[in-house]
Amino acid sequence: MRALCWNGIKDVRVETVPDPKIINPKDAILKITSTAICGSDLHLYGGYMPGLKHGDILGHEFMGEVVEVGKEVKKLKVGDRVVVPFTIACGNCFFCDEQLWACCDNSNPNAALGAKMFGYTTSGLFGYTHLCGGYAGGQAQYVRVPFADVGPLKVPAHLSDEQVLFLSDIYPTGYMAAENANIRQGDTVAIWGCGPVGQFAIRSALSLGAGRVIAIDDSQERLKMAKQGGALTLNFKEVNVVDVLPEMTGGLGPDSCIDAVGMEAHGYGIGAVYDLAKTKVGLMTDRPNVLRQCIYTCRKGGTVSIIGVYGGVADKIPLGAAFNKGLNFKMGQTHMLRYMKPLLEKIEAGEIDPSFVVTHRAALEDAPKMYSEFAKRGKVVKTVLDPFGARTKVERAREELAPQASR
Amino acid sequence: MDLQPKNGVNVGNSERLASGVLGGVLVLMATRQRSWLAQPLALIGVSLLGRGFSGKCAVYKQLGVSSAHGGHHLALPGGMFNRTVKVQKTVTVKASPAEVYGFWRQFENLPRFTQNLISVAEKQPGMTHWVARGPNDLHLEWEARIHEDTPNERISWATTEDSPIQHNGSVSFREAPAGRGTEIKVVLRYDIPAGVMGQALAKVLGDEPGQQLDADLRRLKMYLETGEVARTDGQPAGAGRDTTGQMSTNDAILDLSIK
Ligand SMILES: NC(=O)c1ccc[n+]([C@@H]2O[C@H](COP(=O)([O-])OP(=O)(O)OC[C@H]3O[C@@H](n4cnc5c(N)ncnc54)[C@H](O)[C@@H]3O)[C@@H](O)[C@H]2O)c1
Ligand SMILES: [Zn+2]
Ligand SMILES: [Zn+2]
Repeated sequence: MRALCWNGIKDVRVETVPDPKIINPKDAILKITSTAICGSDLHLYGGYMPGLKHGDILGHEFMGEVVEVGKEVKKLKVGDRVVVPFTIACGNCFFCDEQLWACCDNSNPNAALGAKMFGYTTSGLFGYTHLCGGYAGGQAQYVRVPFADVGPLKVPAHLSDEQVLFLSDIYPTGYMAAENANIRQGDTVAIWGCGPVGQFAIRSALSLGAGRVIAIDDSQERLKMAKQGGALTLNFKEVNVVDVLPEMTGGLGPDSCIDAVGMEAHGYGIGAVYDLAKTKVGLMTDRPNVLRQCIYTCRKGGTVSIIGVYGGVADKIPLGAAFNKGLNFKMGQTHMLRYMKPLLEKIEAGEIDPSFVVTHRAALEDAPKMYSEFAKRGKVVKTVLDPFGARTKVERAREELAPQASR
Repeated sequence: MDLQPKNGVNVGNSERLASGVLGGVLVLMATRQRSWLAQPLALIGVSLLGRGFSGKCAVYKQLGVSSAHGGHHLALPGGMFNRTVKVQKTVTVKASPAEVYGFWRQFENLPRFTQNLISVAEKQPGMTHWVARGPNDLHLEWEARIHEDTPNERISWATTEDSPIQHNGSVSFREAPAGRGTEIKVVLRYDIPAGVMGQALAKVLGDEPGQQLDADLRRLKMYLETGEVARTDGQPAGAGRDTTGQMSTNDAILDLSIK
């Protein structure tokens, strides 16, 4: 089959690899019909997250048709059309029982590695480093799905791929970001980052009762999409967010602040320069300047909800501000199975059509180009890849001109 | 990793002498034995003799160990040990103490979740035979006697005196608080002999034996809670995998994570 493989920093290639096969009795094999590139993939692409090996297949936002099931798979049948959550959960450990699906104890074969980094292991994730299990990802034509009776959600035929694909990650993720923000009717919620996750957080915050959402980014296209979703917008290149937010909220500060940016925050000012310098010399992994702004601007007793990914250590977090203002914190990888079904119902009821976020469509063969465009974090907001699509003429021409670069 | 010297001499001088002597004794013994032991004894004896003369040992080569580079390291016969390794780990499993005890008490089940055990068999009540994977596909075998067997609470075992590997272990089961299942605590002790047997055993145990027990218990938990052990070996990967099996690092993370 064809699959997108990581071969080093900013080096991803579509290669021919062996087809996946059933390894464990509860596995299923999916033929993928649609797959997407996520902001989380950019942390891998840019080399921020450790634990990749050359040749690893990336991708964790995918859906498709079941073509094979292991002998212990009871519910899922060949032919079922499903969307698959990016976190892999066993469905029968303490954490799964507690609905903490992203903390599943039994799905990470490299649990000891994960535990070394974080104290205890996280769940396995598709296409997201060997620390998270080393599962082959879904930017491919086929994928192996473990614990197939637990994760995959059957989707009705009348909904298109693009309407349900984002149940695999970013819609539940944006929703959890908003839920974690403890929003009460009429609250003001500030959201940093208008990427796909931010976009879903904006819409979810409003649906959970926020009176207003202030969305922050520096990309015109993304801010425009935020505005279409009902948010007020701030361009952090044009205004000083730390000064403006209190002004906009009667001197009180936002009730909730959502960090939908994570470890690769860009920024201006002294803090950002300091972060860049420290990550460049390898003394720090994460650039927490958005988190700092969340903490600093949040109202007393408010909530900071972190949904952007952090992977390691970060410096100069204003803990004093957090403590003395009595802030609440919630964060983490999305506990997917809590949200997939209820959110599918919202889609079916016509409350939201997640396909609004799609700005680009391409063949899997063209994925390397889409990675490099997406990494600019501008007009490419969400790309949906067709694993069996033919490569575009432009890409074929490029390959002929520079064969070694694209193979 | 490979401890084989270039000239093929992997047996130290003093050990060569000892080998020769021991080999001679064994061959001599074998000629007096009438039992089924005679043939293996003679074989071992002959190979030891040969080793004494040549300084080359096929078995050592197989094991990937050597006693030559120290020059004066003697492979001591059983009974003299230069260090003891003790490891201990606890894991909570969502199952009752009776279920977990029942699973473990069938020692045959242990290879289902341990990385290095090939088989464990209770040959006669209370007496178990263990086969483990050594370096280069060599098998290490030993006998262990069950010393304590308190249903649903604790099992302990220890190798017999003549075992080439001196090892004992225990597993205890305790009901976890708040209905969370069973806390399984395993304590293992290995006496690592000086010389090559020790080197081979050390290889099996790995750099950090605690890590291996840790990984084994995680797999035990997976097996008992889900009926399978999570795996990702055998999955497809791109051609790049062949050039390097190394994981990418972001050194800052590993250096600065809280130890
Ligand atoms: N917690 C989870 O389970 C989960 C799941 C999916 C994604 N994520 C994470 O969510 C984050 C966002 O994902 P995405 O797909 O939207 O990614 P993305 O990279 O497309 O979006 C990030 C956005 O943040 C903006 N940004 C950068 N610096 C900023 C700053 N200083 N202030 C305000 N905005 C700034 C960028 O311009 C960009 O638009 C990523 O860290 C991703 O890894 C988390
Ligand atoms: Zn994602
Ligand atoms: Zn679980």
